[in-house]
Amino acid sequence: MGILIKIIVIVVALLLSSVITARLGFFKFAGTVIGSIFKKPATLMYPVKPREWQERTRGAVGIDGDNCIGCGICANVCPTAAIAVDRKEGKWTIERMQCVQCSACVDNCPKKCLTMENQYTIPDVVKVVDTYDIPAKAAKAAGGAADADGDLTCADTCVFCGLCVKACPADAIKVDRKAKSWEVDTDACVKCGACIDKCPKKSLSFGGAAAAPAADEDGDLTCADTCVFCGLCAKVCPADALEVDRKAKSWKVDTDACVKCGACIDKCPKKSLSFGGAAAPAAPAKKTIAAVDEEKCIHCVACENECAAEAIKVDTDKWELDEEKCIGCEACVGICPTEAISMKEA
Amino acid sequence: MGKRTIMPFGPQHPVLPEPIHLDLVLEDETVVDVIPSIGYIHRGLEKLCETKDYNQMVYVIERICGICSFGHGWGACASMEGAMGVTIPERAEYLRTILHELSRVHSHLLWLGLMADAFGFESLFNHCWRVRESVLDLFEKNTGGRVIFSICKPGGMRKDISNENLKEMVDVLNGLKAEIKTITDVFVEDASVKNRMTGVGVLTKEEAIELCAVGPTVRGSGVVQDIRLTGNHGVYHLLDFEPVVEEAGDCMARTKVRIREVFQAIELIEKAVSQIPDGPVDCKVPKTVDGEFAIRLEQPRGEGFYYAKGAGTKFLKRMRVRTPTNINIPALVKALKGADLADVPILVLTIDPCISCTER
Repeated sequence: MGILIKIIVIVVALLLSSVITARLGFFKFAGTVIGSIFKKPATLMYPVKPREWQERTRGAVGIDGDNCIGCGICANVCPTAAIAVDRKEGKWTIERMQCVQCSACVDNCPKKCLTMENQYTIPDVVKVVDTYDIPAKAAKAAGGAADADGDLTCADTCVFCGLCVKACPADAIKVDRKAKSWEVDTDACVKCGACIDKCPKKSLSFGGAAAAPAADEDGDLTCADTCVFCGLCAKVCPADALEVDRKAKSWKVDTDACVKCGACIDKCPKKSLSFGGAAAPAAPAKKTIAAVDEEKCIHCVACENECAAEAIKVDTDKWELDEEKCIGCEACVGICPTEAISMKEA
Repeated sequence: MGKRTIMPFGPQHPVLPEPIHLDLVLEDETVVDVIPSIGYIHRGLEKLCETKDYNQMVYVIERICGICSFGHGWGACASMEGAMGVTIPERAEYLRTILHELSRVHSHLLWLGLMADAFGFESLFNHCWRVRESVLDLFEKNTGGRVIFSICKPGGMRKDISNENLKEMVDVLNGLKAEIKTITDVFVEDASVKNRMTGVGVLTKEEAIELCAVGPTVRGSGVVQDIRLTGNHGVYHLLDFEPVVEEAGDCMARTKVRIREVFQAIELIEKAVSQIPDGPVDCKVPKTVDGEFAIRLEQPRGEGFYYAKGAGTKFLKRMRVRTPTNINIPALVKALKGADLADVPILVLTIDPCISCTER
């Protein structure tokens, strides 16, 4: 019955439109509308029928984590700050809701490990943050994983600096500097050995076997006049005992706060620091400055951003160093994703 | 004389895709005065531009509006290129012109649909948007996005569009011409549509000039004004065309201008594709912006104005965007005075309002 009525209505409408349209301009659209009744729907039966993507369709950012060098250019160019790169932990994170699919990260990726996939991420009721593993940069410094026999122990050379707490990925260690206490939650400890690598006093070990003899720590921390006031010691100090003012060329230590961990001594690029002023291996006669291997340089600006002395200027096709300003702190060497920077004599 | 009442119109109204508020002062059913107020969708994008690297900023500016997004991206890039003193390759200028005209096709088809919706012609509305869908597919194929294209960058285009794809684009558009013709004929010839639009909201030539109206609004009142021919953007000077002008100044005239501009845009694309030279599509730009530059673009809705000022850093000191709807609001107020209450929705749509553009 329904079909019959439909046909009658259509016939009547056709008659009406053909008669009246020509003369008066009524039902001008009737022909198109009636034609549409017999056509297939113009819309796609989504999601029953999936949509076909074009080659260039921008859906979602994908990453091939193995090739990523963790340079962080993608995070720098992202207009919405959706991407975060943690080189030390080896994590590449994207907030899917924040990403606007502009593809700027994909275009700028020097290793071409980012891709723009056609399919957008599946709609969700919560904001999705995707984390991918990339090769961790810090791993190269590791002194070989210790034999994980027995629980983590701390020798009495400990100065309670707390660097092990920061390094622990499992939050298993607790250090109270004032109470001079060091505790490990052996259930939480995953025996990764990160704390052992980090400990400046080499007090940590699995099973209590280690504890290399501590360096002589007679006297307070002092700085020789080879100091270039780069401030790396202040950055690394766990106790915030150091204060460096590059402009005023001043270096100060708060001897009460200093826990004598020696982390600053290890970090100092000029080897100017020591306990008791014994050290300072003959001041290097020549100043060293940064130099770049133009073939390796990808002009990513990471060094320009890192340089505390504002000595480096990177342009689209050149890398320039103000030799006067360079303090030889080697911060750029450490940050360079392609290892293009080395130190040379001025 | 009847009693005066004030009737609020918007910011939520079935005819409005975006929020604008009008206080209509009515005498019986006639509008005697209109007090427009905006500010419902201000996002502070101009200020945001000052905190972002100029390369990132193009993506921000594009998101001012979803319909004239290409024009916004182009305006931002062109103003920065001007400030840097960079001349982009000719092929990039051609590609920008082609995509800009393509977005005019999709913008006008969208507007025609909304207009049909405003006077209650739902099937016409659906058909306008069905045709527009093919244009959006062209955009997706060539740029990667349906609405936000992200293909402009300071210094040219991020991706080239191959000559085969351009030819295909022209073929698709020529195929659409017949369909667009059947649909747009309804606007011009159907008696019920004519009754709603003819003689409604007349804006005389003098008023249009005095109120500085722009785009199809001013061309519908018989004023020959087209930034494509007088401005400093694109390759329009090589394409040889006449601006579309209608004399009547009413709703119907403005609709006719837009309908004819759809066909004109398709012709311009065809002409540009036949002339486009081969070559690179981008060039190197400095890392910092210094100096200032202003540029005017003929957006689908009218004249857009872009001003960029740099201070020798990678951040812009100021980015100013003035959009056509902003300038057309006084003309809208003028057209509304003396209209029937029932005609208000049509008249609000007749300037093709884009409130997101206006408030940025």
